[in-house]
Amino acid sequence: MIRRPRLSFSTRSFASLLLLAAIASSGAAGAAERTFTVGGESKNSNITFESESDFETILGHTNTAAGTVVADLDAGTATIDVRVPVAALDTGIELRNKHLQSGDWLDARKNPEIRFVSRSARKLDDGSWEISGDFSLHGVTHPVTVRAQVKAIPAAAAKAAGLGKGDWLRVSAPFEVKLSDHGVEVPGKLAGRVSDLWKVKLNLFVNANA
Amino acid sequence: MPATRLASLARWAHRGAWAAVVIALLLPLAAFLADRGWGQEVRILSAHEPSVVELNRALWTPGDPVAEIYGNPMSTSTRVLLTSHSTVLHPQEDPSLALLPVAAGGERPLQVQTLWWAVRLGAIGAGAATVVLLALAYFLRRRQRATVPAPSA
Repeated sequence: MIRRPRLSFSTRSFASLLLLAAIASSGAAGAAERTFTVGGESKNSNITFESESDFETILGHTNTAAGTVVADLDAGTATIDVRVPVAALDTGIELRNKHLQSGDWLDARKNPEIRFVSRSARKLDDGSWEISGDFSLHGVTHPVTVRAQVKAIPAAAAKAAGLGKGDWLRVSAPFEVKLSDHGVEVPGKLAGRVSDLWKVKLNLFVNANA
Repeated sequence: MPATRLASLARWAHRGAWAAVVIALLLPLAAFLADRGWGQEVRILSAHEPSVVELNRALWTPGDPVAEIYGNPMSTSTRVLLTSHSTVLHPQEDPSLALLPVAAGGERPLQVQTLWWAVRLGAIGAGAATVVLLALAYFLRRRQRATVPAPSA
């Protein structure tokens, strides 16, 4: 006959305590972590890209973005996933937009989205956030580190600005992208007129209501 | 070809060369004067909607960047041409700034650097035309001299 070992009272109590502690700590973390939605109305997103050359400085932009930010503002941790459709990029000249989306450039048909997915994000002592992640453009993913400014918007101010219900954050983040890192070669006939280096700036209002 | 015709062509080539020299010199001068007369230094920005500007104003504290209240600005200032002064914004937070908001799908201003790029291209073209026309004039004069019969004694 096999005898099952009996747990003593003290061992069972200890196990129960551990379980309770685990549940309590996971509950506390979940309460502080919030999910914010990127996108919505066009005024919520203003994303620009700048190409500086001898010929001109192009300032392109889009108001279309989608994604989520899951952040624990107190703990200073977050995960970010932002997507921008290539077809929504506007350089101010219709013909140039068509070129940008063509197979010679970003190839919107094959690679319809530009995407940033964070791998780590932490709040720095000066209040800004350092976010490292993977930036995908033209089907090629490259690591990028972004220094972002995150500001909580008081509910009254958000309401007055017509942003809508719920808690809002303003996220501003500049970073640089080298087209050649993503397999985009500036065509020879445009060399000197379009830079390989693009300065990107995100200005997003993200909402925790959804 | 008769000598008189060659001489006439050589004269025209010579005049053309001089005209190209004048163009090569006038183009930068015209660009310089246009820049002086109608150029202004601005920071072009992708404009935020008015309600967002109001919100940014409410969130702004001294020390924060001012241009970002009104939109996403270019990283540096740019000289632009033929822009109405009424479209240039001097923010109350820093009136020394000159911001040029560009709306979605709106016209982009002509940048002075684009003008100078075109001038460079024009000057190089005019310079090349000068060399070609001078060479042509020289060649035509030689041909003309060869066809003129030596005066008999």
